[in-house]
Amino acid sequence: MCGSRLLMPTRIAIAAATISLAMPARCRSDDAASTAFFESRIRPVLVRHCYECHSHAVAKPKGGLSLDSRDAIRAGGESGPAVVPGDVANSLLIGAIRHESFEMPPKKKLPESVIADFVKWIEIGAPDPRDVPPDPNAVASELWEAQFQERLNWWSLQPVIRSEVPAVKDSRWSPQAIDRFILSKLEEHQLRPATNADKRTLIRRLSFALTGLPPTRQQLAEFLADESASAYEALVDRLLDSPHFGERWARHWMDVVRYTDTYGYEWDIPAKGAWRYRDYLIRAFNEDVPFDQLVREQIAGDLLESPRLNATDQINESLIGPMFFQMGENRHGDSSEFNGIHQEMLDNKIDAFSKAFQAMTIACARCHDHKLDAISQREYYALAGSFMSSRWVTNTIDLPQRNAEVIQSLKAIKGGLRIALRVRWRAESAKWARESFSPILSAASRVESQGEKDSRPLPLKHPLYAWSRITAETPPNVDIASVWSAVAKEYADASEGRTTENKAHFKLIADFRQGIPDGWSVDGVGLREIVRSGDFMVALEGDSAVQSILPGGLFTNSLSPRLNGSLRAPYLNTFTHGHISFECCGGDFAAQRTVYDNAFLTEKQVYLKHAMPTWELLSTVPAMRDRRIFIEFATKTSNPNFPPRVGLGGTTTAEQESDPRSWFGITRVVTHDAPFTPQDELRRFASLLAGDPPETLEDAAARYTAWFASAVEAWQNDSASPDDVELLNWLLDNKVLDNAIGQDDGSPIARLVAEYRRTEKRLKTPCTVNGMADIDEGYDYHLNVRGDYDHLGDAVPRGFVRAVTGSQRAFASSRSGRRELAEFVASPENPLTARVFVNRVWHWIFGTGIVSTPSDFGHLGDLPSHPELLDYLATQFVDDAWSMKKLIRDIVLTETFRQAGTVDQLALDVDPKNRLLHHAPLRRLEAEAIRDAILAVSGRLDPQLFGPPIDPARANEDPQKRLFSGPLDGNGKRSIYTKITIMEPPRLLALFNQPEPKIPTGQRDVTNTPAQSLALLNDPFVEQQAEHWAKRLIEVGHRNPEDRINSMSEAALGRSATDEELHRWSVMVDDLTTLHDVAPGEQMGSVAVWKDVAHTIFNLKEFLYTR
Amino acid sequence: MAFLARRPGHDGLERLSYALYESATFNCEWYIGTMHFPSKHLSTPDSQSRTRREFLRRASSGFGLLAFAGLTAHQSVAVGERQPHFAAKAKHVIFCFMDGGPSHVDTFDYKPMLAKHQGEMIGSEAVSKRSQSNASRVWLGSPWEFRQRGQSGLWVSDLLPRAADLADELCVIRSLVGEQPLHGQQALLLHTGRVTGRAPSLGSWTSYGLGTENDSLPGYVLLNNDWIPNGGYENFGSAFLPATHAATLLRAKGTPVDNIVPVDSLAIQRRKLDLLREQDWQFAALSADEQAIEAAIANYETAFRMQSEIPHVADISRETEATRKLYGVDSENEYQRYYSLQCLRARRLVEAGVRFVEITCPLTHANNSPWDQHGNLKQYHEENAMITDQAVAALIEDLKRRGLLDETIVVWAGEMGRTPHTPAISPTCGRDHHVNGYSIYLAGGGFRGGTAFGETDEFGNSVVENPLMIHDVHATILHQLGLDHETLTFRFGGRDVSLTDVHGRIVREILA
Repeated sequence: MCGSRLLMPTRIAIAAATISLAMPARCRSDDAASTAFFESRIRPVLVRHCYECHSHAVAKPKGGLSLDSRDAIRAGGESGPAVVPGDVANSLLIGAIRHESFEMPPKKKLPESVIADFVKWIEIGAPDPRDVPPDPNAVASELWEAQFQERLNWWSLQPVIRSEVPAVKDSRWSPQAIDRFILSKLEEHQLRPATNADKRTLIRRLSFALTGLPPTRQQLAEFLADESASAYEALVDRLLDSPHFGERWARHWMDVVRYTDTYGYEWDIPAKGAWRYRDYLIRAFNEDVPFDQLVREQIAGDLLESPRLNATDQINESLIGPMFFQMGENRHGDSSEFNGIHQEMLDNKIDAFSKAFQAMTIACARCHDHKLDAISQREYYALAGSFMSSRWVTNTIDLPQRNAEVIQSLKAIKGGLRIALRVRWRAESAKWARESFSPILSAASRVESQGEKDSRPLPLKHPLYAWSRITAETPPNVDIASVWSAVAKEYADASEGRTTENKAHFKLIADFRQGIPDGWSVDGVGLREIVRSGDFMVALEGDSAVQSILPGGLFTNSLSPRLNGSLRAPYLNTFTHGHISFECCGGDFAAQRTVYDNAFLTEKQVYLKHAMPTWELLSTVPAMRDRRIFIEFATKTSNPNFPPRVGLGGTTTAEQESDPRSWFGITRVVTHDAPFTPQDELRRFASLLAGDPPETLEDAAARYTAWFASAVEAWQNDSASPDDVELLNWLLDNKVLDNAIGQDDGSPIARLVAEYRRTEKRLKTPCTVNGMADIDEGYDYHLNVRGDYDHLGDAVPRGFVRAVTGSQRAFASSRSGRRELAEFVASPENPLTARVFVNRVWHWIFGTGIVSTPSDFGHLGDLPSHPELLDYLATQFVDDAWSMKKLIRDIVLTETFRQAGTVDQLALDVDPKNRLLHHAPLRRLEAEAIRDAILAVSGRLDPQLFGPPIDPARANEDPQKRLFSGPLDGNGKRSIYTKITIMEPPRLLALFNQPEPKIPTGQRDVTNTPAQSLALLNDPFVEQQAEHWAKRLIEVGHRNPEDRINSMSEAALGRSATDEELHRWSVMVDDLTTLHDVAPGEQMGSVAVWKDVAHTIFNLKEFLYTR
Repeated sequence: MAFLARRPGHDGLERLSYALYESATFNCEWYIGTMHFPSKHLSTPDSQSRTRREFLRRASSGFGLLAFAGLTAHQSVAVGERQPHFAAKAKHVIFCFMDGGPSHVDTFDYKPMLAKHQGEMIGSEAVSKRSQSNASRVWLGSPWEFRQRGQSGLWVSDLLPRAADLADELCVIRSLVGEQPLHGQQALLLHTGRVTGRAPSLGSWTSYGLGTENDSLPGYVLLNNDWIPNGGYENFGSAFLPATHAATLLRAKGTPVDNIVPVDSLAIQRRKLDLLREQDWQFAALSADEQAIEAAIANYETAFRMQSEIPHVADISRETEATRKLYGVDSENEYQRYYSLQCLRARRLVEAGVRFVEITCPLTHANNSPWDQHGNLKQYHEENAMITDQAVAALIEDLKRRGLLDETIVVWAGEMGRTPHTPAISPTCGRDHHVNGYSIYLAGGGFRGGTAFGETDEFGNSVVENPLMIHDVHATILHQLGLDHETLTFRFGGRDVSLTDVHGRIVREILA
């Protein structure tokens, strides 16, 4: 679908076609020639050079002059008529374009030939077919079209063409293509590259570039010992193979995607699954997943035909990708109350998407067409529609095999339990037949003991209602048969009346026992199968075997409350009634959520708090009809808004937040206008009351017994109806049916329950990540006139920017179109994707990109320093199947990368910014690398990859905003695992320019402030690590201070100390020994002394920079 | 410097700056890296002169421009002090941020109609998107008495008795209109001029525009009270301005500033710094890009001085008993004690030359922000007033007594006001979010005391006269500091960005 990207000539043809379409059809044939002259020579100039200020496309044309219709141009503006047909001298336009009276267009004068055309045109009577009063929108689009065609000439929108490797004078410097590009530019400026860096400098530079860590002693020794020609190449490959490579490079990409662990704003709600996305990136870089695949996954990983599956972790990798969209700040309100909330989140997505993948500033076109680039305002809203068409939800990434074995076991045990229960209950119901009073009496006595009888009369729905009526008065005064008959009639009438009413008022739109209706969607391990009526939940604690029997439908907890689920209803505006009601149950913070306009941190969230399905009414407000609102039921782990903000359903404790157990069930859904919910139709009593009435209590008891027994029997035959289930649960609750398991009673039931409980604990918590889901038909977003969300224009068909797709075509998909969007972006024909990424890689390796503004390839961005090299790298990258490692390898293997950091005067004068790369740039380590290097050198680094984020140490915790404090050393884990909270970023890392996580960052700032010096001098982390290192050094033992200093220098700087340095440091060691009042003999064992030495080393610029 | 860029031509300095910002690329490292060099505090004469030589040599190249611009951004260097755009009335700002939104109709906007119509439904014509409102809510009278105060007769309620005593110093604006009735957005708007944030704070712009008077102290200090307002640290950030203009956070309790207490004795730290300097110069000499290293070296000397300077300013032990009493630093209430301490420190910081000081409120109870009384209006507004009123009034008085009030603008403002109505009258009812006309005050710094500007309708529900946006207040504050809000810009993302964007007018009516 992307192969169709049109090249320039075709584009021009389109422009011409558009213009000719705009031509009025009613020109008279006799002046066809003069009209043609106007159309070909005059109109395009007016549109391109004048309309921006002088047309109805602008609210106030400058000088009151519009040039967009015959009448307007002849009437002129404040200074008089612009055009007087046949009278060049009195046509002000001519003086203006000659720059005699006015200077128009300002800045650049039109070519003489064009001015001559205008003169000629006026001379022949200024034929002008534009006799219709101009429509501002038409003029605006004509003007935009002209600007657009001109802007399409911008360098970054041109097709990428493989560049010829240039010839160089010095062909001996390097045979590599990349080097030839660099050298040829240097030679153009009469410059030479620097000499090669020495091996120690090089390994340090390379190690930080590829892994973000200093070389280990072993890596250093290995490299130094290898004197072969391939030593460096081998080193590069070793480092590319290091698992730490992925950590380093994932972090680079995390800048671009505005990575965050929390959503900031007022409550800093955790960004669900953010860290799984971080781990996904680490794996992707380590496994060298092709970049085009990563692009597809991040844009539409939920829609891929064959997603990338991770057999080790048993998760769907591709499904993690769309977490990309769910980074950045999210607000907990919604646009129904405060318009603007979802629009900001949407804007952030458009901004991140367009900058990350295309280095385009599409977000600049929110209020108007882009001021400089080929991006129209409509195109902004075309993307907005795509992103809003998908629902912003939490997805489960577990593959079926994850937990499959445990689930299989649980099902098997449950099967066994069902058989054992069948045996026990069969015996029991057989016993009932023998002693006909026993079940009913035992039930009745329980009702009495529970005080239910006090609330006489029992309600109709109560199983013992009939019994209570016939036992209300003492025999023989009671005519049992007639009371029974009256009761039967009462039930029959109620049942009929209620059934009729239900039918009249309610429309059943979902019965989940029958399946999932169209438009509804389910997600989660707990909802993979529909629960049959009569299925049951094993009690996971206590002295019962069965917790309850289920009426069928969707129950996340039919096996275990550890399994997750979410059920999402169609948008409310697809329903015709005013209300919707759900027959549902749930607990442990399972929520019913009403999500407005994709504001997934919704304020409309209530926790379900009952054990068995009950009708719950949800009003829909008619005024909300024009909004996109859906209802979602979600367990904790599937709820993007859990843990919620303080005040939304009460506070949650840390324990509640981390316990995955949470559950809900839903059987049916109805819509209605009546302000009440469906009534119990009482059908289950029909079989109790059928036939002739009983004459005696014994008879009545026998009826009850038979009624109970038939429910038990139906269950045993696996054909229990929901009515049977209701009765069975009542029997269980009232201990009429024996459900008890004694302590180690050795019965098969007890044994199976124990086994079930043991097995259930082995379930792994399902993995969930925020992302996108395409559930509904696509939705075209309305243009916000001048960016004002209260002022809607027309709906814009979903699509991508023409400057990239080459045609005006909207997405073909009837849904969001993200899948198509992913292909447009991941296409080799896309002029930007490969260019932008190779440039980023160059930027990450050298500190400055070939384009120094990596996230802006537009007019406000920089121009490429080496455009041919950029295109060479881009084509090579695509040819190498978008291999990121190959690209990085090619770049670090160049002589360019291997230069020394020295420079000659000429180079400094000619190219002070080193844009031509005549030497290796000096670079301060990134925040993460500084902290990681300290951990690595001190010996505290825990090399373990992956896992949940670790809170940074904080001076002041703030539990309301979930700003907790973690261990000072972050458990020794690398900085990529430090939790990033938008409210309060990790202090030490932020100080060294870890980017603010709300918006994409293409290039980090590198500031140099006294606060950084204070941190390195006084921060407790730095001090702690200095002490850790000192203790380790003392443990190792060295012969003398010089040996130790040397070894410290090797570890921290990758080189041994010079004699001068050894002297300098030794003097300091002696001074410190004195200052700490340590006896000279104790010097080598003094933690205080060596801690100070270590601390000083952490402050060395040589430690903090690579050269 | 960038604010000069729009007026090129007078002298070489401006032309250089212009050239700098014309260049499409901007390397942050160089700009900031050179800010602190060559410092007069560098103790290596040889290296210093070498650096100066290098500097002059490079002044003829592209590097030189950047270095030069960086130098001039820093006041202590020989090139000359930063010049404001025009004569300044004030040199400092103290911003008392009433986080959460104090109720305007319970403080400075007297509306007797509310009590008269208490309990009556407000009706649909009183509903607004700039207010948490619906037609069935009811008017709520103020629980506090209003009186006319001082010579000026300014209306102030009994909620703020100490501020009321100073009515003749206060310039009250009663007609502020915000954008969205939400804390995060409004707090960011109040601080950065944008509901989305991602832009420098007013304090950062002030520091950037005026430079510092004391290069051992930051230009913008945040006196915090253990609570981060909504909008987070971004409220106080420098965004794209150089990092030195971000607020430095000074805590009320414990160590006032992160990493300010030396982990070493002075002698040991000095020994380390001496060795570091030797090693670092050696490293700098090896590099083609030594300026970054040189700047980092200079930073260590600044840091060294800050270690003594900041605790010195934060320490109030030498203040007189009368002063302590005035502020209430020995109050029985812990919150008040710390808030008062911060107010007293604010005065000390201003005396020491800090340009912009902000004081935030403590959160005393489980809530979204201190003044955010959706319920229990009476109880918690009174508590907040008790904690802050005395100290803020003391600050104004103290500044006046020391002759500093004329050159210091004191701003008292929340990010919003509160609805004049409530869902239902009850003893624990409160007021909700309201940005459709609310009140703030300014004092000192050339603002006209004893004035109330702008008016809301008789229910305090919407503005009927002289509506102002926060941009107007920003423009006016900058104006008093001698800065033109339209030309105080910084080139970012290819544009000259200002605090007020395309908005803002100088409200001359409220100036003395």
